[in-house]
Amino acid sequence: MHRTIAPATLCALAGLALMASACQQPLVNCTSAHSPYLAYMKLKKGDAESPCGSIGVDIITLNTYFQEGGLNGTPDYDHAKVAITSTNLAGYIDQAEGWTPPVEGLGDKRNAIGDFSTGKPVDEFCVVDKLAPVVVDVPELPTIPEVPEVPDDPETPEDEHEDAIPEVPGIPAQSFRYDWSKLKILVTADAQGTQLSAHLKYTENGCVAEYDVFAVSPPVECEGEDKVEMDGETVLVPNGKPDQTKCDDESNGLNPSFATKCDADLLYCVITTTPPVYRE
Amino acid sequence: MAAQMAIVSTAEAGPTDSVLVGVIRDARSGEGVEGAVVIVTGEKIQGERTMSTDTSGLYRIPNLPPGVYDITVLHKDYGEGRRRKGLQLRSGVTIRVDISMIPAGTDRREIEVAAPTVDVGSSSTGLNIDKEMSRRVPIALPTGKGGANRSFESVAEATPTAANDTYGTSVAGTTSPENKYYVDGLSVNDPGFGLNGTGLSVEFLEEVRVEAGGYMPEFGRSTGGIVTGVTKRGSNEFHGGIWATYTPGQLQGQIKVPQREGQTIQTERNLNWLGDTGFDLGGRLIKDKLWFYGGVSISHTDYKLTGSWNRRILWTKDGTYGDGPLKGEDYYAGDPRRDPVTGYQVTERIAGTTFTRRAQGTTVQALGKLTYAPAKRHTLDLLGIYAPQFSGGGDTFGMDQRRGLPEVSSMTGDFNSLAHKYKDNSADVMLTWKALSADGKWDVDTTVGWHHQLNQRLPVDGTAVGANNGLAAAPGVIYRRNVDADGDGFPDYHPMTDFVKVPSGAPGGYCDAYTGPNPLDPTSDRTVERCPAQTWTSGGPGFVYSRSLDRLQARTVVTRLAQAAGHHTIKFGADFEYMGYSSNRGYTGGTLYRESTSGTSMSDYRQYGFLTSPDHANILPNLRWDVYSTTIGGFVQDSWAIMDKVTLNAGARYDAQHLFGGDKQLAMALPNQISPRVGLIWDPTQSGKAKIFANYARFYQSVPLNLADRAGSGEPSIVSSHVAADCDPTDLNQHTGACQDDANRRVLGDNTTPDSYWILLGAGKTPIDPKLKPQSSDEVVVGGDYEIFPNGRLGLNYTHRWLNRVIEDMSRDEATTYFIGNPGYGIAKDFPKANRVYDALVVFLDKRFADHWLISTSYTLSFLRGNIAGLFRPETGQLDPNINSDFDLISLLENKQGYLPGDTRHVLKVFSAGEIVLPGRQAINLGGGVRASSGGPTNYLGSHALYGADEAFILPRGSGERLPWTFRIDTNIGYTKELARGMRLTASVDIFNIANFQQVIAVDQTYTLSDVNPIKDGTVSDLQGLKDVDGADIVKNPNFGKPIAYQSPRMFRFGLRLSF
Repeated sequence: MHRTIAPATLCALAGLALMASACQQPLVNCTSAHSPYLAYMKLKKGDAESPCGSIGVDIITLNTYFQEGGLNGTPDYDHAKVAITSTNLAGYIDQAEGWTPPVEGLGDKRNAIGDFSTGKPVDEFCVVDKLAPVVVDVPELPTIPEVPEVPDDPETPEDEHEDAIPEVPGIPAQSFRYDWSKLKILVTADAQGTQLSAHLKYTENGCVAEYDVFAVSPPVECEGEDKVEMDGETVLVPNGKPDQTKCDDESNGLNPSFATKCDADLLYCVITTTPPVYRE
Repeated sequence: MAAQMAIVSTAEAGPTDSVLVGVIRDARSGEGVEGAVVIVTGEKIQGERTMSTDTSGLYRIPNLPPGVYDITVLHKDYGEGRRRKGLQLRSGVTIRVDISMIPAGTDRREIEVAAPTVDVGSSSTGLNIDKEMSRRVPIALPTGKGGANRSFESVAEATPTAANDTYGTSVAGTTSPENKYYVDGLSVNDPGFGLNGTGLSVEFLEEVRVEAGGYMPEFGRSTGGIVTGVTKRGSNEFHGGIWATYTPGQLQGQIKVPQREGQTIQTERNLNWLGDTGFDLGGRLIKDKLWFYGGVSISHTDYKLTGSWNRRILWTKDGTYGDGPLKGEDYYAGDPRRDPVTGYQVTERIAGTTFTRRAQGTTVQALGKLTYAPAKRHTLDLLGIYAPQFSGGGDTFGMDQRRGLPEVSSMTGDFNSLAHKYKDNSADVMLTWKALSADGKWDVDTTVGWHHQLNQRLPVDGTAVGANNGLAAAPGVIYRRNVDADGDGFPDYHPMTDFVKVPSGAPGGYCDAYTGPNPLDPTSDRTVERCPAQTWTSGGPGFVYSRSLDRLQARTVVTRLAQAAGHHTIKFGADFEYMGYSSNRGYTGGTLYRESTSGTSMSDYRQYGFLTSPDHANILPNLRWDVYSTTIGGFVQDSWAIMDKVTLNAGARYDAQHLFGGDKQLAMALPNQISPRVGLIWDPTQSGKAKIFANYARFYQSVPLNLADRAGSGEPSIVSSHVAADCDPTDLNQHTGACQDDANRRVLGDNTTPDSYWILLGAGKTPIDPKLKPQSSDEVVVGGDYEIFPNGRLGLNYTHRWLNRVIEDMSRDEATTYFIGNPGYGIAKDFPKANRVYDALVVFLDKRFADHWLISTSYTLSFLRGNIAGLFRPETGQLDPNINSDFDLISLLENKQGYLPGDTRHVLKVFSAGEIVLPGRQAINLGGGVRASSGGPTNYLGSHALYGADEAFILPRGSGERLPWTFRIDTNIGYTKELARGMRLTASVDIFNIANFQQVIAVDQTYTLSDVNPIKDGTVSDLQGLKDVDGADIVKNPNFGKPIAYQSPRMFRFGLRLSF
């Protein structure tokens, strides 16, 4: 009977000789994608009609921060923090920072930060059990009075005319709180942090809701377009309908192996279940 | 005794030594004669080598350095032996000499047999270039890589199927970093990049041996050729020489200069001179016991760089171009005038503005070798080489050692920002022990060695990487403002006088800007610079490094003779290799700044560092990784002379390489590299005059450590941007002060991103596909040789070689994330499979130097196509083995398939030399080379939105017009006078490109600098109306298809040599 030497045997022999080598490729270090995600918010607890319970979708951005401690002053890839920001929250902060007079310092509080519990993924997932809460208290924004019209002075050659700017009503004080936890990021060579799930407890002016979050990076819009003849030229006009081909387009920046679905309400390519979500 | 010698030969020997093997037969019965004593003597071995034949009459005498040997056979029943003189052995071959003997007392019959030229037992293809050929034939140009010191790698190009490429000599359609380079048995590949790490001068070599393919399992870890320099060794007699060569730049032929865009400061690069001198000496310390050989060589290269100021010629009135590609285009008063043919802006030289700089480099090589015979049948060789190279420093530019040219082609920057001080040292130590058993049936060949390199590129003042003094502390700054602020359709560059004063000899006001009406906006004026600075660099030199590389190796090979249905030469062995690469690099001052095209901001274009939390930056003055790899391997092979008529060579080798990153963790595992090799050789003449052979082989590639250093360790980098008005980085106080103040940084992020001021690049190590397999290629060679006259063989062979899996980095999501895998397999299954297929038909005639003449000529018809050239990218020069940009983006994959840059369809090489002996112990030496080759393919290249210029193949690879044929004739004329017995003085002159052919060797392949997508299966007709990625009309490069390089001009190299 012929016997063949299995590759595994050869590998084992080689490994034995090398003492410390292996035949498996090294695991990826824990990381998030360094770009925005489309976060699909599935309400778990709370009133779906309330302001805090009807988020539906958010674009969140993550970044991974390796800590000091590597050789020769380099980063230690096995110890990293992760930060999350919310585009919804950024809207409120931008509003306050752009108010007259501006509210300063709110942007410094926008990040939820936590530590990866391991340096390498376990069963393809990296976990952050709990992130420091994001608490942003926006003070009352006062009414911005009307700016009257500036008439043109016919004595001068320049046109000084400026329209009046109407009064902007004030906004009462608001508070927002994001408690992120159970952040699980898929980390493989093929999907380097580009799918994740998390738990979010969201508090908006005292209203509390809890969500299961499923996010995929990068965000890809999938609104369909109709061809319309305009001035003799064919132009594409958004039609408000979902177009799955935009999620399946291999040049859209999404991993072509991911099974994303064009959500009819959100008009974004989403995953709605726990990662990994791959095509069959 | 009477001897009837029939000569056949069998499979290969070790890397450098030769083996004599054969059967002593009774001429009448044909039976092997047991107990015959075979004695081999020669100048290159200590004492004599003897062996008694076994029961089958077989003898085998290994470990014979290349040289000339005598054989004597003795047997009690067959009378006294007869000495067979002048058997010449080249390196690495096993020559079989069968001898038929007639018992004493019977009729004697003797047949004279010349030294065999057809290696009837080997299916290896390639060329042996002995010292006679390398001295008498001008093979390698004096300029270019390894030219000045005439390195062994540069002469390897004489091999059929070999060609020069950007980084060395490529073999059989591969790229030069795929080769394996040996000095004797020591592997001297640069552990970081795979190039030749010890460019030893041919003056120290007995022979250069190039194996293009068909080689046996004892050679591995290469998908290219095996290039071996075999060093000289001492002998009982004293031999040596003193030599000098000199190539003056003044005698260069006229150089054709390609037209280029007119710049304010233009640079001409001319050779001042180059040459080398040295001596060597070999002899005995103890007769037949301890020999020595050693020598020293010094080479120097000196270039002159002449800069001059030139100003743009502006139109003085409105008009329309009348011809050329610009025909019909309007111009206005104040517009820069353009050449209607090339589209380049036209300039005129400003008198009194010429200035000069030098670029220079020196290489010293010292070699020492001891050969010791501690006991009968034991030989020890100890080899040491130290080869420091210095270039640049002081007020001179350095030399780019990888290309053999000055480091700069254009002096558009402050000297301190362009110039470097280089150190490229190599050191090698090797100990070889060869032992033969008393019965001659076993021999053991053991080698331990160390190859070391130090490669430094430092600021011109010599300050260290990461230091905080001198130029090491001065950041480099790139200015490149080109925004069209006044809206006249022309970029508003900085005036050159923003950076440097007009030389005092220039007429006053020559560089003053033009101011006049703006033709596109009649309500305003515009300013047009006559002496613009399209780009300019200031401050320190930017990227600097200090690299230390090591290759420790140990190998043992055991050979055993056996008999079963013919004779077997069984070899097996094991080897271990450790490669280390300490890479310390950085940007002077910690940062390389780059101005925005608008001129309003200054970004940290390159800067090592990382963020520990949002906007908390940790800038690294330098980045140092120490990476390494281990490789273990083993092989077994049998060369079986079946019934002594047909030889079957069969065997396999196993290799496993593991690369480790800067954090000492495994970066890549490449186990289970099993390389089968099998060959069959038949001598139809049964007299050693011919062979017909076929061979199949698989070769695996050894991955250089650059991958472990970059992808396997990560290159943490961070970027911020500064308001130009508040941050002038050429002022060191501002660089460390105002430029580091967050108040002067531009906000790059917003409240939707975690960071406001910083962007993180190089996020960590590049992940590896768990299903990654090693890179390999397969080869089939068939052919035949025939000895058409003594020492001359005519051959024909066909090679088919193709790549299997390739290791490359890829991104499936358009540069968001990268991984390393095999294109077309594993998680990269939706990428096209990498492929490179080479087919070559070679006809050659080779006669070594004997009877006062030699010839080595070949014609090669070859086809090379695929979607990857190899371990570097010829189109861009990128040398990042296994992580080049070939497969990086899905949007760049289209049209990559086609004829590769190395596809020169027809190549003819003729090298010949002769010696005319004159009365009075004089001789005239004549040698020469003629080369003719058809031109390679060209492409239509465009810019890619993410990767920039020339990264997109607009049309399928090779769609451009082929380059024209090139011809070159080189000659050598020499005169030799024997001054005393054994002492010869030779004066010679080599003339390269004697006809000063100035044929085009490269054309501009940039079809457009607009960002475009490849046109799938497009043709030239599809280029009409080509749009960029945004749907706008592209701007065609008017110089597309025009020459950008010509052949190297005529050069004279004078030589003087005293040898004894």
